[in-house]
Amino acid sequence: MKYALALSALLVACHHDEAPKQTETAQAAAEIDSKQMALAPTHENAAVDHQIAAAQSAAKKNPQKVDLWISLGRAWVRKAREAEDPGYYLHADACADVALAIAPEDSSALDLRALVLLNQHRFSEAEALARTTTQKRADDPVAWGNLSDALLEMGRTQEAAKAAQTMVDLKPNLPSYARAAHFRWLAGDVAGAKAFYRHAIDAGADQRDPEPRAWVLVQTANVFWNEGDAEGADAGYDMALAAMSEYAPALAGKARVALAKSDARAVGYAKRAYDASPRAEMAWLLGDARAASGDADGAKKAYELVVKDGKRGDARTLSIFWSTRNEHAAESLALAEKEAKTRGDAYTEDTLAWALYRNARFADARAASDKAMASGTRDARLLYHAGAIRIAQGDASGRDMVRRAIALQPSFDAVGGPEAAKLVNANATASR
Amino acid sequence: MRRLLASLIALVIVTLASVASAHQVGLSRGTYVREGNVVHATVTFARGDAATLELAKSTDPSTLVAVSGCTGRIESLTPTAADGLEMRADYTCPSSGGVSLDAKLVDTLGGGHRHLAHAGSDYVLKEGETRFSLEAGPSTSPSFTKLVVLGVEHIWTGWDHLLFLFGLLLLSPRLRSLGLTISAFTIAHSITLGLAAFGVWTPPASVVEPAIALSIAWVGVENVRALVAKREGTVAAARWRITFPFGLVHGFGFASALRELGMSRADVPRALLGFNLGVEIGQLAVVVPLALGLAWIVRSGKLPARAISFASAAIVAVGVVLFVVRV
Repeated sequence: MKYALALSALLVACHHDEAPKQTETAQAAAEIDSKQMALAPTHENAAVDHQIAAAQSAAKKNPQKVDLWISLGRAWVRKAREAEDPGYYLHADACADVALAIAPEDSSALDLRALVLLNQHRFSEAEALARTTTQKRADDPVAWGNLSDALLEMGRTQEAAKAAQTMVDLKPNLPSYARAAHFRWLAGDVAGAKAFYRHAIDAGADQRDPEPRAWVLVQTANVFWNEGDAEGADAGYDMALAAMSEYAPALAGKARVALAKSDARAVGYAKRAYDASPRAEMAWLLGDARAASGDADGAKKAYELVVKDGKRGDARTLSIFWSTRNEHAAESLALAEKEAKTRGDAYTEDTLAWALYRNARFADARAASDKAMASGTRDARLLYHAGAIRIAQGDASGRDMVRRAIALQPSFDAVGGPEAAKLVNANATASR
Repeated sequence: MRRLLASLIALVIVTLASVASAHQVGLSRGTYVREGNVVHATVTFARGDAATLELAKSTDPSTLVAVSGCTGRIESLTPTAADGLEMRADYTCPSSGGVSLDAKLVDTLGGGHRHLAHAGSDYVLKEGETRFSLEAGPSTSPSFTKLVVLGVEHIWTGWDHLLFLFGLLLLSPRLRSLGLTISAFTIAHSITLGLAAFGVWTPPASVVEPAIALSIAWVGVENVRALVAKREGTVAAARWRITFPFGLVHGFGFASALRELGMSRADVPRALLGFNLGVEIGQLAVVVPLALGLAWIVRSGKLPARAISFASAAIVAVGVVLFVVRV
C-alpha cells in the first residue's frame, strides 16, 4: 500500500497538466456563443434597433475594442427596457462576456454584468460585484447605483440609501435623482419624492434614449395615483406616452385610472399594455378591467395568463395575485416564502405578509408587515394589508390604517379596495 | 421500452428537482445535425426548466423542439456540469431533404428565454420567433468494418479498461477461472452497452467514470489481499461474481464512444454489433498474449510474488487517483 500512496501522489501531480485543455475548449465555445448572442439581429425597426445594428457593425470591425462591446451592451439594455423583455439582458450579458474576455478588470464591463445580475434577481452576486467595482473605482456612479439597487432589493434600505446618496453626489442626473426620489417615496416623504422626480425629468431629455424619461414620468404619476390624485396621475401617464408611444407602464397607469372611474376605455388600455409587455402584472390588470366591464370569460382568460406567466418567472406577482383573490393560499405562501429568500424589499415583505394572513398565521404576518411598513411608505395596498392583519390580531389601530388606505386611494386594486371598505364597515358595526 | 424510458426520464427530473435553482431568464443551446433521414438534436437547458417543460410526461421531444413531418424520440437525458440537463433526441423523417424546426421550448419557458441554435447556420430564437431550418446533410453513417475498428480502437486506447483487465489477469493464471472472469465481464458490459445504445438508460458520466476508477482500485486491493492471505486460487475462481457488476459499469463507459457517433435509432443494432465485436476482438488481442506471457513467466519461476504485489499496488494507486480526479 505504500507504493500505492506514492504513486497516487505522483499521478495527481502529473494530472494537473491536463486540466486546462478542457477548460480552454469550453471557454472557446462559450466565447463563440457570447459573440453570437451579442451580434444577434433584432428583426425590428425601432430607433434602438438601429442603434444596436450600428454598435454591432462597429464591434465587428474592431473586435478588440472593449468600449465598442460596452456600447453594444448598453444598447441591448435599452432594448430590454423599452421592450420590457428581460431576455435582451442576456444579449447585454454576452457583450459583458466578450468585453471581460478582452479586459477582465474593465469597470464598465463589470457595471454591465452587475446590471444584468440585478435583472436576473441575483441580488447578492450583483452586490458583491458592485462592491468590488466601487472599491476599485470609488468615482463610478453606475457601480454605486447598482450597489444601491441590489441592497434595496435585499431589504437593506439604509445602506441602499447611502449608496444612492453617493451616486447623486458623484453625478446628479436622471438615474441618481430617480433613485433619490424613490427613497423619499419609500420613507413616506411624498413632497421630497415629487421634487426629486422633477429634477430627474428635467435631467432626462435625451431624444435618442427616451425610455428613462418615460419611466420617471410614470414613477411620478404613480406617486400622484397613490395619493388619490387620479387626474394628476393620468396627466403624468399621458406625458410618458408622449415621450414614448405604447409604453406599457404608462398604458397600465391609464388603465388603472380608467378602471377607478368605471371608464370603459380601461379594457383597451390594459390590452395595449399587455400586448406591449405580456407579463403577469399586465394580465392581472387586463383581467380586472374585463371583469369590471362584465366580460367574465375574457377576465378568466386573462387571469389564466397571470398564473401561466407568474409560474414562468414572476413568483411575487403570482403570490400577491392569489393572496389578493384569496385563492391557492398554501401555494401562494410557498411562492412568497421562496421569493423572500432572495428579496427583502417592502413589496416582497408585504407579499409574504398577505400570504401569511390568508393562511391565518397572523403573528408571522404581522412581523412581515411591520418590516414592509418600517420606512413609512404611503402605499394604500401596504396600509390596508397592515391594517387588516392588526384587526385579525385584535389590535384596534388596524381600523385606522385601513381607513387611511381607503382615504389615500380607494381603488388600489379591484378586490382589495371593496374588501377594505367592507372590513372597516364590519369592524365599525362590531364595535358599536 | 417506451414506458421504461419515460419512467427513467421522470426519475431523473424528480431527482434533479431538489437541486434546481429558482427560475431565471434562461438561455438554452441546441445543436442539430442532419444524417440521411434522421435529425440528431442535442439540447442543453437549465435543470430548473425541466419541470416547466413537463419532460417527465413523455418521451416525445416534439414538445421542446418539433421537426416538421418527422417523428422524434428522446434517446437520453443527462445532467451536465453547471446545473444543466442535456437531452439527446433523434427524429426520423420521411425523406432526407431539408426540414423546418420549431423550438417550442422557447414559448413554453417564455419570460425572455433565448435559444441558441446551431443548425448549419446559427440562430438566436426568442418568444414568437422560434422557427428555423436545417438543410440536408451528407450521410455519415459509418460502415460495419469502421464500427469494428472503432470498437478495437476504443479498447486499445481506453487504458482504464485495459488496466482493469490486466489486474484480473495478474491473479488468474488458470485458464478456467480466467475464461469465467472474462466471460462475465463481456456479458455484463454487452448488456449495459446495449441499454445505453438503445437509449433505455444512460447514467451520467459523473457516476460511471468514478465507478470505473473504483473497479480498478478494487481489483488491485483484492489481488493484494489474496496474495497476503495466500488464497490466490480461491479468489481467482470466485472472481467472476464481482467482475460481472463491474462489467456493467464498464459497458456504460464503452457506450460513450458509440454515442459520439450520433447514430440514428435504426442504425443502433448494426452499430452495437459492430462496435461490440470490435471491443471483444480488441480485448482478446490484449488478453490472450498477456495471459500466455504471464503463464509462461509464472511457470518459469521468473516472476517473484513481490512483483505481483507491486503491480497490484500500482493498480490500486492508479484507481484511487482516477477516482479522485473524476469525482
